[in-house]
Amino acid sequence: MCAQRVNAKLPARGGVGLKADHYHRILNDKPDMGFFEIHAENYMGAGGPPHGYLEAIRRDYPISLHGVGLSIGGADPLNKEHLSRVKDVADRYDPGLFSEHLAWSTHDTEYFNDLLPLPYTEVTLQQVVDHIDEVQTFVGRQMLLENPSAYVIFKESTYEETEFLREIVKRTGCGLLLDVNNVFVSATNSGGSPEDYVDRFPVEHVQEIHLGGHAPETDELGYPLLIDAHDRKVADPVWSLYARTIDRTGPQPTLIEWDANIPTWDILAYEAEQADVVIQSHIEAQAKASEMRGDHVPSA
Amino acid sequence: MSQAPDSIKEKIALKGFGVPLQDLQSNMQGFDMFSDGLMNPAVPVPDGVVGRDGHPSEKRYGVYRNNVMASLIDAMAANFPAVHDLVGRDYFRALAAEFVRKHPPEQPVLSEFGGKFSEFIGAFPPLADYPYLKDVAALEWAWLRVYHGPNATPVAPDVLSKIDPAKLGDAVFTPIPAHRLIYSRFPLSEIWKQNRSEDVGGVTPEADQVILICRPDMDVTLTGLAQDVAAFADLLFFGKTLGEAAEAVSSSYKFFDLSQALGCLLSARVFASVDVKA
Repeated sequence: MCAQRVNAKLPARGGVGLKADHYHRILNDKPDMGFFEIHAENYMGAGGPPHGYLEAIRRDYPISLHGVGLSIGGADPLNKEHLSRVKDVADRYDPGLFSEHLAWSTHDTEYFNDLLPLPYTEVTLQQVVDHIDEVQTFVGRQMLLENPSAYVIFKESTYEETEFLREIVKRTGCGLLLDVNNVFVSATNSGGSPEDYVDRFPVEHVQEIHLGGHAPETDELGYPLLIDAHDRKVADPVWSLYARTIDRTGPQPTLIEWDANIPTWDILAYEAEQADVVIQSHIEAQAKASEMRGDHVPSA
Repeated sequence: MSQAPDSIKEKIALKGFGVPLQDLQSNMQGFDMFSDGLMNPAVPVPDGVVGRDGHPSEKRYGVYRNNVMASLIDAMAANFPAVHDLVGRDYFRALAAEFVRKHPPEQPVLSEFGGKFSEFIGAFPPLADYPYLKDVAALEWAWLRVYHGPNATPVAPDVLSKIDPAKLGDAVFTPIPAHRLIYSRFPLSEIWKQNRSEDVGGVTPEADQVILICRPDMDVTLTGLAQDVAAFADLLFFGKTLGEAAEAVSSSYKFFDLSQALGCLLSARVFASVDVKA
């Protein structure tokens, strides 16, 4: 079975989240797409159509595995049964990348189905580090940790998020998934600068980028309150921030997240192509700069 | 310093290396407080969770309250579309909100959330005049379990022609794992056709229905079974031989037709294997 599959490694191109609405289109047309990302929790049944479609799609495309339920940032011990199901999905589909969130979703056995924020303190740092150690050891793969979108500020935080992430990487050897829309959302919501955040981010550990759409609202004081809704196109300022990010990280696999009000395949694929355009113009600009410096460019 | 409640002490009993106990306690209390208001709008915004002016912000914390409830209600609507359509969108969202607060999910796989919904509806006084809703929810839950159940290849409908007729009475029928039987006093197959736009095969009795839900390949199929056929199927699924099952059912249902019952179950493709007991 595995011998029939394409290589697991994700190319530094645009990719999209795999949606049931698009299964048939993908299998019938085999569109040119860098990769598909799946939510681990959607493929945890024993059998049935979701696995049937994913098996077929995995033959032609690399996939990245994105967990939303491990509650890495929580104060409780990890749910061992769930961790074991994550490993099963990883073993079954051999994803090129595996990621989870700097967030929590379970507390006292209740699962809240949202990526909830945590204060950044010495205590939460140790909790997150312990959880990532446990995940990486059990699943047997490196995990990428994703920066969250935040709507609130914790008074007790003693770390900047970028420093918190840097410290986690240092202590666990995990990689990072940089969600550029989350950067824009969190920075706007807290009154910070998204550009500064990207400039301070430990980019040398980034292995994947996420882009998605957000909904603009305001809080009771009239300040902007952006909601990470994943229900529309990527906003123009987020595309600009993405170009700035790619200049720092170099080309990276880049996912378009569109999870609600799911568009037609063509609209979604077009968004992924825009990521390819940004990556391509970065590569061309690099080549031109290198030429102007008179660097030796080896022939292909 | 005031004494920490016992529950917090228990939670942090396994931690505490290198971090002052006081910090661990206040950290756990922070998670407790943030959690408490997520499903309960009457609980105020937790201390220290603030907006840009440094004060607690209802609107900002409210984003999380809304995400939690709306996404879990959406998950219930996805799992129970026929119940949703029967009671209407607004009623369903209010009903699901009550359910979510009473039985929040205990694990992150949402296709496995709602196992207690049928029971909850049955015990929900405002719905006492709609007793069939409980059964529709049970059918939708069974459908979900069969949809996500293990794959298995069913035997061909003509499998019995390969068995020595003299030994047929000793045949044991193993069902595919993705199957369920749902019993109801209401015409579920009609309700299903109208609300899920899927056909239901087999017989359609006017009342007292049994529906066989199974997934012989990728598609879930529903088959209406007469009472005697359902009783027969149940015995075979339980591991009784064909002879034992037929005898037991014949004694309760005098018009039981064995060949018709077998034909019905074999064409539903619910059996993974048929073996003659040694």
